[in-house]
Amino acid sequence: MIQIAHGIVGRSDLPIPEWLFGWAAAVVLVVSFVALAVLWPEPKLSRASFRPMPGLSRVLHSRPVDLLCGLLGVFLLAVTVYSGFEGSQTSTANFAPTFVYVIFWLGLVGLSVLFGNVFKAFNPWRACGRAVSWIARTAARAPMPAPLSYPERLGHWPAAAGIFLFAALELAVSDGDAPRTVAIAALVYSVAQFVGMALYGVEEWTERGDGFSVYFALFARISPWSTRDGVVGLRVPLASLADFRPLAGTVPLLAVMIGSVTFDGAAEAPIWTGIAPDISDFFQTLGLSPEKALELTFLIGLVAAIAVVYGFYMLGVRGAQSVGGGFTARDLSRAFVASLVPIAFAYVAAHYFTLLLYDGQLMVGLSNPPFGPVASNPLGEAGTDIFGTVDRSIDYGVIGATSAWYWMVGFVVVGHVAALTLAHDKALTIYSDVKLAVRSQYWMLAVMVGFTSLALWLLSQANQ
Amino acid sequence: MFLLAHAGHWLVNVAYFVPVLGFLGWLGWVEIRGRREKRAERREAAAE
Repeated sequence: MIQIAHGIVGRSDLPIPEWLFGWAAAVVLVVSFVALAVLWPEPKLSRASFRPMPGLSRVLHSRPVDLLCGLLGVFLLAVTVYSGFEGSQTSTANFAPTFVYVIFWLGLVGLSVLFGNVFKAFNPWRACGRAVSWIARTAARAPMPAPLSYPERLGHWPAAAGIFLFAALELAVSDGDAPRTVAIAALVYSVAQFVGMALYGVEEWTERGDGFSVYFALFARISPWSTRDGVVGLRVPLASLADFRPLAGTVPLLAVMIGSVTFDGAAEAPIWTGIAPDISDFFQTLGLSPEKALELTFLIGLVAAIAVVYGFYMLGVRGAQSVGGGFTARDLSRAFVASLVPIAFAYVAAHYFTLLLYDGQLMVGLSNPPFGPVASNPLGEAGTDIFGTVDRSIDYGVIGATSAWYWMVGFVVVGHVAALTLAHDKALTIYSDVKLAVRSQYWMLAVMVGFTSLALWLLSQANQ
Repeated sequence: MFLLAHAGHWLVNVAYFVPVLGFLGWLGWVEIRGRREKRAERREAAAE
């Protein structure tokens, strides 16, 4: 089922072996690197002009649109919690797991890259926080006391922790896709966000501490749509990433984003399926139940994958540092961290592209109140078919296995070339000597080739 | 023996990472050559 969902079966008609795609991708990266070194002698992305669109901005930021989007976000959160507790407890027959793991977690990544930071408008926690803040201000008939100032050292650490916990729920917890678990997780996350907003202010917390806000906002920086001084406008794609100012915890956050996808792919690989039972057996000898032992094993695997991604990036940074220029490893790790964002997108897009296309179709049937097919819904008679779609099944013919493979390779190559371009542009900004900037990028090129090879190997593993 | 018998399986996996290994090898060679050149420059400067 997973293999079909990932659409990686039956690629027997590929003209060359799958591993040769990895070699071809590496050649594309090296050629791109040479082209950048020759044709891109000064920073361009951070200097890219911004074309404001005041008319569109007025509409998008108008009170009715703002209110409508916020209400829709809160409604979808409420439906997720309601269907998680009250609907069928079969994951595929319930609105909550498919909505959270497919539409929200994957679909919004694509929307963010295409249309900018759309999640900000629909963010249910931000909408609730702003509503409570408005009510409190109105009731008190005076400005509310200023919240605590957000500590510098906290940076993106709460966001990294939030995304890590979400990934652990999806990949390590045995009933992580159970509707009730998803509903409880949504409530726990909501409480954490409300506490954060109460302490540090709605906007401050949303921009730094809310894992999903930070996650989607990072992907939105790939998009040509951006906002400057409250006005929506257009820039060259990636330009907003060139301006990105990392905080404490940004590098670990990106490592979590890439590492969690890496582990999801590697968990299907024989190398992991061979070793995982042995680790699980070891924990059982320590007294853990088989279920808990397996959960702990997968948690260790997830942490290991994140550590490998972090370590590989830091290896590239250390290499770039050895070239000279007087930078510390911390300076360089933060300077180049934005180049990991297109890589994170490439990983998500390539790995989950077919899952979104296939499982996303489930939403057509699950959208009927009470958000689960009538036949398998314990509410039975309460079930409806108002959209006439309750019997709709997944059409696996929407994309063929070979086409899906080419799309996935395309995502990987384009994402890594974008990352290389960003890193090159940033190097030209921070190094005073162009030659030194290019030499520092030998190491970033090694990182990109490494992540490309890893991505394609992971994609191939689902076919073992 | 076991490794050889299953070489067909793991060699395919290794094949994915040949570009990375090749690239890291090249980087190592560039690094060593750079250090040799610096040492030679220092020796020449000392001789002068």
